[in-house]
Amino acid sequence: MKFTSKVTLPCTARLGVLSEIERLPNLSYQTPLLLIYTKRGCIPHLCKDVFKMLSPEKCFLLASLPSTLLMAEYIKEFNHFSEYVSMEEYPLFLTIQDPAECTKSGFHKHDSISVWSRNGRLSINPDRYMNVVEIFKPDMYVSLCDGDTDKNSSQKRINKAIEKSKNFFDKCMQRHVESNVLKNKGFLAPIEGGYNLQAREKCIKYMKDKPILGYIIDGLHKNGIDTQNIYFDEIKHVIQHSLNLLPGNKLRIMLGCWNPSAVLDLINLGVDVFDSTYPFMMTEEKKALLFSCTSCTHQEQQFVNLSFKKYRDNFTPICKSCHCATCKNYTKAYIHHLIQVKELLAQVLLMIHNVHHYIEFFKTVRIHIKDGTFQEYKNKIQSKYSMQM
Amino acid sequence: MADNLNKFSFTFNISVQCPITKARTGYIQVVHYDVETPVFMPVGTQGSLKGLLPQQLEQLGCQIILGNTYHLGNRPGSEILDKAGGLHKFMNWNRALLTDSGGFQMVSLLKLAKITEEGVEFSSPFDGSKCLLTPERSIQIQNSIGADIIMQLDDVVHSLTEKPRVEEAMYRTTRWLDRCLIAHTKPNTQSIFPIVQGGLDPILRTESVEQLKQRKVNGYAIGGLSGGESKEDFWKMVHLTTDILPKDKPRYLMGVGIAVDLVVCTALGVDMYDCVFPSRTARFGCALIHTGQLNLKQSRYSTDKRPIDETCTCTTCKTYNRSYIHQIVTVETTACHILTVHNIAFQMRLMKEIRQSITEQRYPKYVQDYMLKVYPNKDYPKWIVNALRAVNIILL
Repeated sequence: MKFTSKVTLPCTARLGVLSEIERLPNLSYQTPLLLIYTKRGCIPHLCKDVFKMLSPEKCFLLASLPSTLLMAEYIKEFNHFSEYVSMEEYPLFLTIQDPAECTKSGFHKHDSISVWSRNGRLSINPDRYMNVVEIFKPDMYVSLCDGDTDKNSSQKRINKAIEKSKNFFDKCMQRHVESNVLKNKGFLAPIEGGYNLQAREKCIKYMKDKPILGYIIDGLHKNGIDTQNIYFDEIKHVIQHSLNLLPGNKLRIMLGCWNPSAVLDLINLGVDVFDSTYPFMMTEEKKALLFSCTSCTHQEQQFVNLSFKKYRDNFTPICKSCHCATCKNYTKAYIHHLIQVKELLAQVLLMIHNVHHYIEFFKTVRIHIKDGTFQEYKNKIQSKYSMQM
Repeated sequence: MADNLNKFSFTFNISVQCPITKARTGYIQVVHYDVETPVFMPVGTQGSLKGLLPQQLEQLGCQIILGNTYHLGNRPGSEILDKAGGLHKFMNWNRALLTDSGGFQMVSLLKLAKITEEGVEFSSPFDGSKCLLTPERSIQIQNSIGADIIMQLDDVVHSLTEKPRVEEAMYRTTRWLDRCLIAHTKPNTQSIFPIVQGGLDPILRTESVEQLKQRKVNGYAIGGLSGGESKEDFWKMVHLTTDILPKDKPRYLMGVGIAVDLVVCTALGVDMYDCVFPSRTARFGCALIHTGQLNLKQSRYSTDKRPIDETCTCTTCKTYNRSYIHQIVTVETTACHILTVHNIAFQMRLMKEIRQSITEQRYPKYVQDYMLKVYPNKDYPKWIVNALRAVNIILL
C-alpha cells in the first residue's frame, strides 16, 4: 500500500492519497480519511444492503481484536476476514483495541497484552497476533502495541508501554517482511508515551526510520465514549510535538471517539485518518448529529437527543437539508416513538443518519482543505462547540 | 377529488379457483395497494418490523403488514397518529395495512382482564389504573391508525373453553360487531372484518357465520383457533367455516403462519394469514427452511460455509455464510435483521409459489410435492393427510 501526501509545512492540514491496495488495486482513498467502525465484522445495526444504500462508495473499514479474535479459527477456512464477514469489496484496517469499548486497564505481562473478548481475557503476544493477522489478511494493520496509558498514567507505566511496544514492533516487523501474504499490506508503527513529551520523543526516535506506511498515535485514551470529553487543548502539545518529529511523508492515524471539534483541530495539525466510533456512540445515546449542517435553522446545535418527549409530535426530519435515507423518509416523531417502544429500527435510522452525516463531514473537510478555506470552515463548525463548552 | 372520496375502498376478485380443492387466487384492492391472495402478512407490532426499513419490506415483496391496536393505542397513541395523518404516513409505509382489534393482546397479555357486555376491563400496565376497551374505542383507535383492513373487537376465548362460555362469546361477538359498524367513521377507506367465533363446536361456528353473513362487510376473519387445540380439531373448524362463508369475500385465518399450515389451509380456502413466528424466531437465532428451522446458535454451524438456504435468493442467503451468522447471532442486532430478512423472504416465496400453482391450475400437485419435500420419508402427520383428503388431495 502506498501513501502520498503534498507535504507542506509541518503541523498544517493536508491532503493525501492512499492507493495501491494489494487486494483491491482499483480503489484509492483521499485523506483526511474516515474509517468505518465495525464490530464482529458488522457495521453496528446495519446489514450489508442497508450500508450499501447509505454509502455507494466503498468505504475503508476498521476492525479490532476484542470482537474478532475468537473468529480466527473459522476464518482460517476462508481466504481472509473480509470474505468471512462478506465485506470483500471493502478494504480493511485491523487495530488492536476496540475504540468504542472502554479498555480494561492492567493485567500486564512483559511479553503480552490483554484483549477482552465476550468470553473474557485473552493474552496476546506478538507471535499469536501475527498468526491472527496472517489469517485475517487485513489491507492495513498496526504492530502489536501496549496503548494502556492516558493523561493520568505514571512514568513507570508509560515507560513499560513504550518498551513493550518497541519490542513487539521488532517481532511483528520481522514477521511482516518475511510473510508472503503480508509483506505488501500496509504496516503501521504505534507511537506511545501517554502525555509525556520525552517519552513520545523516545518512541518516535525508535520508529521514525522504519520502512513502514505510517503511524498510529496511540496511548492518549483508553477508548470508549469518554474520549469525546477530551479537550484538544489537553493533547495539543503532545500531538504537535509528535507530528513535528514524525516524517511528513507517512500516514498518521488517530483512533477513538474524538468529538468533531477535536477532529477538526487534529486535521489542522496534519492527522490523516480517523474512525466512525463517534457517530456510532451518538447512535447508542439516541442522538442525531447536526454539527456539520450549516444551512438549517438548527445552526447552533451539535445534535438532537430524540428520546426527549418534545419530539413526540415533531413531524419534520432530523435535518431538512440532509440527503440520507432517514431524513428523506422519516420524522423525528417516528424515531422518538421507535425509541420509546424499544424497536431496533430506531438505531438503524439513527445510524444511517449519523454515519452519513460523518461521511459527508469528511468530504466537506477535504473540499475546504483543497480550496484553501479550511480555517473558515473549522471556525464555523467549532463556534457551535464553544457556545456550549 | 369527489371520485377519490367515493372510490369503493374494497374489492375482492378471484382470478382462479382450483377445480379440485377449495384454494383460490386473486387480489384484494384496498386504498393503498392491490394485494395478491393468498397472502401472508408479517406482523409489525408497533409501527416497525424488527428493524427492517419499509423499503426492505417492499423489496421482499410484502404487500400488507399488520399493526397491533393495543400497542399503537398506548404508544404513540391516537392523538399522535391523528396528527401524523395515520400509521401509513407515520411509518412511511405505502402499501396495505391491517390492524387487529386489541382484544387478543388484552386477554393474552393482561391476566387481570375482565370481559363484560360493555367491553374488556383491564388495569393499565403503565400506571395500574382501570381502563375499558369497548368496541367503539377499538374502532376509534383503528380509525386513527387508518389501516385498510380493521378488525372488530371480539370476545376472545381460549379454544379449549367450556361450551357455555364459548356460546356467550360467540353471541357477544356479533353484538359487538354491530357496535363496531356503528362506531366506524371511515367506511370509505377502511373495511371492518368481523370475526367468526364458536370455538370447536360445529353448531356454534355455523351459527356465528350465519349471523355475520347478515351484516354488510367486505371479508371475514376466522378467530378462536390456533390456541392450543389439536390439529385435527383445527383443520376441521377451518374446513367447516370456509364451506359456509360466502365464496366472494376473502377469509383471513388469524395467527397462522407455519409453512405446512399455510399450504393446507390454502387448500381449505383461506386467503389471508398473519403470524409473529417468522420474525420472532429470527430474534432467537432461527432461520426457516422447508423442513423446519435451523437454530444458528448451535455449534454445529460454526464451521458451516454454506448460506442458510442454497436455493433462496434473499440478500441474506446471497451474502452471508452460516459460520459467520453463528458468530454474531443474538449478539449483534444485524444478525436479527438478516435472519428476519431471510424468514420474511421464505414466507413470501412460499406464498408466491402457492399463488402461481393455483393460477396454473396445478395446486394439488404442488401440495403433494411440497409435503414430500417436507416429509421425505412420507411420515406425514395424520391431520395433514386427513385435511388434504377432505379437499381431494391424496399424498404421494
